[in-house]
Amino acid sequence: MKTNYLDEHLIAKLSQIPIKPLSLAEGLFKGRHRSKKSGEEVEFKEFRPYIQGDDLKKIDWKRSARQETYFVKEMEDELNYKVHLIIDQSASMDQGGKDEMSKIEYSKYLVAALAYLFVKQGDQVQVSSFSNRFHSIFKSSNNIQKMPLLVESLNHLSTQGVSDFYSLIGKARPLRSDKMILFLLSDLICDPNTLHSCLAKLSSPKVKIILFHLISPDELNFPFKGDVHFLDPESNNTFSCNAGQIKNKFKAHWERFCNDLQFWTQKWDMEYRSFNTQTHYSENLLDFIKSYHLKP
Amino acid sequence: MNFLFPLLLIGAVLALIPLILQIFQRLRKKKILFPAIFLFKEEMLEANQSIKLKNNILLLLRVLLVLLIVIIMAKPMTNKEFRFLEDEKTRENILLILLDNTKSMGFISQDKTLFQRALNQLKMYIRELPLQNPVVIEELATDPSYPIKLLDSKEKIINRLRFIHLGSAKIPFAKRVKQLCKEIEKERLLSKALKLLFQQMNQHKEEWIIKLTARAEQNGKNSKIHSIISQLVQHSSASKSFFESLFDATIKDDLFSDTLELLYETLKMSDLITKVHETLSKIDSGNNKKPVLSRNDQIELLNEMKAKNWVLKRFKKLIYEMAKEKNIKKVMEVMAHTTKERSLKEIIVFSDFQKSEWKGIHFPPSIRLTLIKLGETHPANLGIVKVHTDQDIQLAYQGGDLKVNIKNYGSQSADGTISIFLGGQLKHEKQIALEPDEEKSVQFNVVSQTDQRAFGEVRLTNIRDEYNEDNHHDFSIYIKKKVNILLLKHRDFPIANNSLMWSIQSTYRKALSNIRFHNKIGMINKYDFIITNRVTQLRKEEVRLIRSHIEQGIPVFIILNQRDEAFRVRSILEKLGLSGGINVVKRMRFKSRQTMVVSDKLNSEHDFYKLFVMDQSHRNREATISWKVTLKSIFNVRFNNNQYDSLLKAGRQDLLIQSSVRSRNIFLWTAGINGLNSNFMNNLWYPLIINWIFQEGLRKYLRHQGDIVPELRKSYTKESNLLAYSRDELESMYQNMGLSSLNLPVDTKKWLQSEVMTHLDYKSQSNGLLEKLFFIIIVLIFFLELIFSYPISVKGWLKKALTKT
Repeated sequence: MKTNYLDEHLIAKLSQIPIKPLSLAEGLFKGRHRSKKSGEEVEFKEFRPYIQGDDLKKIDWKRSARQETYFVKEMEDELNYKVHLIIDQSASMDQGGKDEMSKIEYSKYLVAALAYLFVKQGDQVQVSSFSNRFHSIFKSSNNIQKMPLLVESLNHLSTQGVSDFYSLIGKARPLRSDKMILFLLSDLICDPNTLHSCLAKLSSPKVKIILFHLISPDELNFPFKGDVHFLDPESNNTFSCNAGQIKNKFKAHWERFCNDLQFWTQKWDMEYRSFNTQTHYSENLLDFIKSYHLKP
Repeated sequence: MNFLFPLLLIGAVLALIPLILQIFQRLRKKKILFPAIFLFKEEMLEANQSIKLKNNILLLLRVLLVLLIVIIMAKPMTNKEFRFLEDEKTRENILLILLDNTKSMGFISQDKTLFQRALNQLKMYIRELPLQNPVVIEELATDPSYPIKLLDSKEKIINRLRFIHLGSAKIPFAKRVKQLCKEIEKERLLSKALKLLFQQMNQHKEEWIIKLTARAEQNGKNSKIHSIISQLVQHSSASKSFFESLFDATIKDDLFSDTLELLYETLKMSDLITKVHETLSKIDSGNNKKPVLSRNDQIELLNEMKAKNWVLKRFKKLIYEMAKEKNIKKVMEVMAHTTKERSLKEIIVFSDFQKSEWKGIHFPPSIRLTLIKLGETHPANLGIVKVHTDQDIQLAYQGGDLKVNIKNYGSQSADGTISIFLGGQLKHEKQIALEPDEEKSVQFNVVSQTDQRAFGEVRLTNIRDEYNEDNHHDFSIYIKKKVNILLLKHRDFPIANNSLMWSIQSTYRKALSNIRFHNKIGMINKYDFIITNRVTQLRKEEVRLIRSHIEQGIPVFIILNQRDEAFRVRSILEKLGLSGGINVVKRMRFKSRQTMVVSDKLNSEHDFYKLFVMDQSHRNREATISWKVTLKSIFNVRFNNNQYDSLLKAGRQDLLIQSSVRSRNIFLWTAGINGLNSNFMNNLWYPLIINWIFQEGLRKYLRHQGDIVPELRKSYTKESNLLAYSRDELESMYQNMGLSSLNLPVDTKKWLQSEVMTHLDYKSQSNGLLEKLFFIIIVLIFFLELIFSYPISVKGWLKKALTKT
């Protein structure tokens, strides 16, 4: 059965959000919006009062003379940024309870919504997946007509293999790429050292990496009791243990893991977001967008 | 290891259950997809291993648990226990086989008599026995012959069985068993005595050679012996025993037997045997915790041994046997054989356990008892179930009723004759015929002219020609002609002496000829009853007299008045020595009046009865009739129906009577009547009630008199409770009460019988030690299982508990 990952309600909500061009132009949602960066700009953007440190060349003397204060004339360039959405399709993404979505499903919905949002803004959106290998799901396009194709491809996407973050290097962003935004949706189940080194390699001044860490409530709360048999889907190993005995150990490990992630992503100027899969994806997404809007 | 019920070992298959469950669990265990375990894989591997280990341990424990339970049910017996032996050369344990060959064993069931079946079973049993130790076979219907014959080979035993036939028992089984135990104990003591004798002779060898020389000199008949013995000192060496030296010196001249005779004569004159007796009494009277005989019997036996000179006699017999031997080895063998300490360790009984031949039988507690029952159905048999010598008979003037319950235990109808003998004279005879399982009660009026205790016997003659306890029952009656009653009462005590007399007479059922009431003390020293309703106004001498009567066990009836002050009652009761068990308070409010209450909550030794709480709901015909009769009897007046009704109506106004009995002879009661005033009805009622409860009290007193073991009285009501006592417990209970086990009360005999019957399901007594050990292991396993299956962090738990508190 095919699932329409483009939720109409969410789309409606997303369309209602008034996106502030200025706040976004800093590095994220460029596309239709204007870049704040000065350079070989062609179009006038605005006048603003002179602040100490501004280039004297930029002072619009005419305006300044009229108003008797210094004004700076700002120009801007219309840019089209590439957005690359990458889904982790490793077996571990199957995790999910009876009442909640599996991580892969969750990320599919997120990707669909994000893609729609960007395409609608005129950005080039590309969607890929990775596990052992890197797969392109949706070729770079800014045509909103192609959204059904994306949904179709997402429907075909299933979990397999082990997440190998090395497969991302060189594929996730072209060597001589333009500026781009890279969304990585994953549970980040991988050797922490490997993960850190891969993320380090991915980071680049031209790329804004946004990491969506999908966390299941089981991982957050560890609700198990008594003797349990845990299955590691990637290695297919079963481990039996007493949940009560290892609960504290697990929580400590988990906390350290998340803290490490936050530390490294901060270090490499990445955006780290942890999404609890119990919360509806639309809520998480809207929160994320809103928080970007509010950023100074 | 042997098992009593090896078939039950099939149950070991059950041990597969935990195994199957574990496999099943493993198959259907639910796996949880949880990739995050990658975070601490190493620790998980560790935990995984530990849980696997835990599961394996649990599996092992569970399998063990099942196996142990199965083993415990199969009743394990180690070879040693099966042989009931300590494998020592100098000790031997005797197996006593009691074979019931009384006529009831001739009952044919399944084409064979029970006796034949018993023989077959016994033969099989003997073949199975790893027999090295002596066996004593005793037929209960054959006259016993002592000393007992020890059979030490299977062939001898089987041979012996050929000469056993059915007969009539002349001696009660209990007596026979006791005698057998005594005989076996006698054998043991004799062997021990001989051993001590030989030890002494060896230790003081030179002294004995001198003694022997002196004796030979005195004898002077055979100068050769004299010369040989005088040279014996040279022959003897430290390594040789006294007898070896004796043998070596005399055997060449063929004088060994003569020397032994000389030795016998020397021993007769010496004080060695007295010494041996002393040593024996020291060893055997105090050390053994569970002797075959009771301590008194043991001492008696030792005295008998001394008096009848058994040791010397046995010594003579022994030297006769030794003298026949021409080889020192053989001589020593004979000696060793005789000095083996043989003690009774096991009794096996083959019987049909019909009726109650086995009632009151006392098996020594230290031996293993195996009862083998033959035949399920009974031959036609009558037996006395119970002779009810109603305690009322004790004071009966014209004799009393003797109720004899006869039952047909058999499977066919049977008839017999009941004869009542009193003082050896036949007083009554009655024919009785009963259907199978039928029980009948026959009543006789027994009259005695004596003023003392008269002893009688109930005898039942029927088709069974064998000694049987069921067919005999002894009873005794006691006739007392004069009864003195001390009645200390208020002037306004509303009860006439005559009506009290009537109460006593009606309680004792037969009229007493001479009841005399004393209202003052001093006339005589001892009264048969004391009744008082003025506790608070007793004089010092009266208190002293009552107290001495209480101590003597004479019934004292104390009626508490509602108007008495509670504290004064208490203080006087204290003076009477009753404070321990009785507390009197004025606390209960009964129909808006304060009522004197005898508290029932203070002391457990204080039996408390709420005799009578009457209210409107008590309206049954029987009660009405009984009240009518009572009224008529007390007042000797015939009331018409209307009068009865009005009386009953008045009586049914709320009425509270309670009473308490402390120890056996104190009867204390208090009565409360609502709305007591001076009208005719109530004035009528008060004496009525007092009489009524006086009768109740008397009845209770008599009931107490009838109980031999007061502690057991409570248990009588619940047979199961009584059965819960082990034989040893009961024994010790009896000893504590200063009763010997042979004077078991009727009910206890019944208990013992039923205990014997319950034992029939087992081939043998349980092996206590091994079972206890297994039980402890099972508990331990269970505990371990708990720990493993629910791991509790003790620290955390403690912390939690502490924070909670």
